[in-house]
Parts: sequence; structure tokens; C-alpha cells
Amino acid sequence: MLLRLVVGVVRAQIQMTRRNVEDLFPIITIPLTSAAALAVLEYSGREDLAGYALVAAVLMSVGQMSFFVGSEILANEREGQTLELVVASPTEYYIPLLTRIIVLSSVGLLGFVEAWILARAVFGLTVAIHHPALVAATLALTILAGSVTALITSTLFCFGRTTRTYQNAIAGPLYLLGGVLVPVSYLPDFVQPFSRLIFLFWSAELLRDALEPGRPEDVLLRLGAILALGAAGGLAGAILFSRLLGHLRREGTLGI
Amino acid sequence: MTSFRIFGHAAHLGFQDFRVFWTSWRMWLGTHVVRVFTTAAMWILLGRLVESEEHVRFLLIGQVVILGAQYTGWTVAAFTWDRMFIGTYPMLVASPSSLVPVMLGRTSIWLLNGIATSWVTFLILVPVFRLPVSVTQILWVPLAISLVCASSYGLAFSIGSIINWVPRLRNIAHNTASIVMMTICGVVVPVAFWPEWVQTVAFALPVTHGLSSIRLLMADEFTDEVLVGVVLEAAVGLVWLGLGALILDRTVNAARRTGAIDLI
Repeated sequence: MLLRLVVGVVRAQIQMTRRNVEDLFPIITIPLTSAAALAVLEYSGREDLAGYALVAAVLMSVGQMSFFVGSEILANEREGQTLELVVASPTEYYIPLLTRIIVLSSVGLLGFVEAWILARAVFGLTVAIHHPALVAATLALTILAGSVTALITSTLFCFGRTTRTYQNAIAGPLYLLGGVLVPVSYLPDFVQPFSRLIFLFWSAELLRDALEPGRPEDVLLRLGAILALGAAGGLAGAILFSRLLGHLRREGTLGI
Repeated sequence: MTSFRIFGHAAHLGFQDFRVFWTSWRMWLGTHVVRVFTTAAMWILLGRLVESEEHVRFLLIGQVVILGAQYTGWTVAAFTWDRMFIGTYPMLVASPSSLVPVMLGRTSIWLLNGIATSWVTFLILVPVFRLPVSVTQILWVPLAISLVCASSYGLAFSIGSIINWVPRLRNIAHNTASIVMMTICGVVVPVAFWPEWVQTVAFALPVTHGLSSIRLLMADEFTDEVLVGVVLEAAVGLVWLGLGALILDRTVNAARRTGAIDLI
């Protein structure tokens, strides 16, 4: 039953995205920035760090898709007057909502492919993936953590234009503190502890390790950190979301 | 005279657009500046990653300038708001005026936002990364930054006048242009790093010439080369702006003739 619902939602989301290709534009543009990073690395003779640019490209693409594109779903449903219909159906609304966000976040993976091709085609650099299983596991957990955390932003986006301004502002600190491009060890000491509270920090460190030939350490513990931080974000999001939905139902303003 | 009046009204409207995003300057400082500072810091730290303090300095100056140019680029998106969200575009086209003063006014706020963004970034990043600056530099560099933003505005106006007809592409056009400029115009690596044909493209784009003048100013080299860069930057910007105005007038007039005003 659940599987049928999820498959149906996935198919619906794919159809909706095909009708609204602008949603996919961040995946085209964000990885392009890795060309600038790769240029700095090659200019300085540090081609060995090329993987860093790829890690940044994929994490920023996934982040953008879950926190910005995916988070618009709820606001769009209200605007399109379709929220009442989904909420009135016997399914818990968070199942189709989360499924849709996960579909969009997963498309962010293409950011990695694009950046990899860019490194190869423009700079002639081949980034080897030494631990593919670790890359796959880290990315899967990152998408999951990003998608459930996006419940928070989905809820906030229902409160008008200015919340998007705040939301937009968070991307900068999130990527800087998460160390998606430059490892957190290059930040001042006093901010480094905060980074460990951001799941992107663990994702970035694991992905960089997975591209190195050496054996990565404490893998399960670090994957667990992504999962735990994702769960914490998801829990906060679920509470916010159910309160919002309860409020809208009580006031009869689901579509207003 | 009429054009000035139209410009004035449109600029007022542009200011209201701005307030949709930021309702007060405090909010602007608390959100926009935080975003801009952290983005710049991420790129500057790339210099630390490759262990070159010289490159840290290079990236810092580059970021200060490119961020202004990038935010000036919101002009591209502002071109499309009438037609995407408000439905007032047919009325603008139907009115007897040229759309050039309308769009110049409507988008001028984003030029001001770009300049303010660059100035504030400069004022914050210099002490944070302990870059030594003299009083002369503090006087001249912001002026040169403003010129680069103005010249980038010319390019954004040109792109906007085309995107006006394919509004769905507004964000991808603006972002791609920004990223290309950041990559090849001497922001992250010297222009000479790139193959010759890429350099030729860079010379036809805003930022390249003005930024090289700013780099000279920051290195205390007040030579004729600074002036050459400034003049070239202004010329590049004016050509793009003129081209944009021409495209806008031509396409709008064609639409008036065929009646295809809102058929996109």
C-alpha cells in the first residue's frame, strides 16, 4: 500500500518537474562554480585537491534542491489550491511531501556528474573515486537528512516572501560552516565546534575521504552522525509542520 | 523630459521591489550581508587551502568586485517580473513610450544594491583578513568598484532585454553569466591563465579591465595602466548598455507591430 503510494508520488513528481524544468536549473549552474575552484587549484599546482571542488558541487546541488526547490512544494500546493485535496485524503500528508522532496534532492546528484565531466573536459583532470561504496552511502544519507530537514524550511516558506530572504541568507553560513568547499580546519578555532552540528560537515569530510586512496576511519560513526543530525532536523521539522497543518485546518485556511 | 519622469516613477517602483525582499536596512545587513560575507569567505579560504597568502589577497579583491557585479545582475530577473507575476507588461508595451527609460528606472535599484554590496564586503573583509590598506586606497577603490558595477549593469541590461522574451530562463541566464565572469575575468585566477580565445571573451566582458585597475590600486601602483583599465571598463559597459537599449527597443517595436506582446 505504502509502496504503491510512494511509486505514484514519485511518478507524479517526475511529471511535474518535466513540466517545470526551471526547478532543475540550479543543478546546471551550481556545478559550474566548480570550474572557478578547479582553476584556483590548477593555478596553484594543487590538482591533487580537485576532488574538493566536486564534493562542493554535489553538496551544494543537493542542498539547493532540498532546502530551496523542495521546500517550495508546500507553498506551491497552497497557491495552486491543491493542499486541501491532499490533506483531505486518508494518507498522512508528510508521506507524499517527503517523497517529493527526496525525488528533487536526488536529482542534485547530477551535480557530481556534471562537475566530474567539467574537471575532465576543461582541465583534463580525472578524479578517481577510491571508495565508491562510501560515496554512495554518504550521498544517500545526505539526501535523506537534507530532505527531512527541509520540512522545517517547507513550513517556514508558507509565511510569505520575507522568510525566503532569511532562508536565502542561511545558505552562506551553512556551506561555510559545513566546510563543503574548504575543510573546516581552515576556519577560526572558535567556530569549528559549531560545524559538527551541521550534517553537511560530516558529509563533506566523508566524501573527501572517500576520494582519497587511504582507508577512511570511523566510517560508521560518522555516517551515524549524518543520520542523527538528520533525524534531529526531521523531528523539529515534523513538529513545526504538524503544528502548521493543525493551525491551517482549525482556521480553515489551507488554501488561503 | 518625459523620459526622465518615466525613469523617476519606474525607479520608485524598483525601490518597492527591493522592499519586497528587505523591509529595512537592518534586515539587509542581517541577511544579505551575512550571505555575501560567508560566500566570499568560502572562496578566500581556498587561498589558505592552497597555502598561498598572496592568493588569499588575490581572491579577496576578486570577491569584493565580483559580488557587486553579481548582485547588480538581479537586473536580469527584474526585467521579467512585470510579465511573470503582475501581468502589467502588456500595458507597458501598449503605452506610447520607449521601454528603455522604464526598464532603466525599474532596475536601477539593483545597481545601487550591487554597489552597496561591494562596498560593505570590502569594509568587512579587509579587517577580517587583515589586509593592509592606505587612506588613498580607501578613497579610490570604492569608486572603481562602483564603475565595475555600473559596467556590469550594462551587460545585465543587455541580457535582460533578451530574457524579457524568454522569462523562464532569467535565473539560469543571470547565474551562468555571473559564474562565467567569476571564472574567466581575473577574479579567481589571472586572466592570462586561460587560453587565448577565452581571454578574448574576458576582454569583452565587464569586470576584467576594472578589476585589473583595482588590483593595481591595491598594490599601490598608481600608473597610467590604472586609467587605461578604467576607461576600457567604462567603454565595455557602455557598449553593452547601448546594445541592450537597442535590442529592447527593436524587439518591443516588433511586438507592437505584430501584436505578439504577451505571447511567450
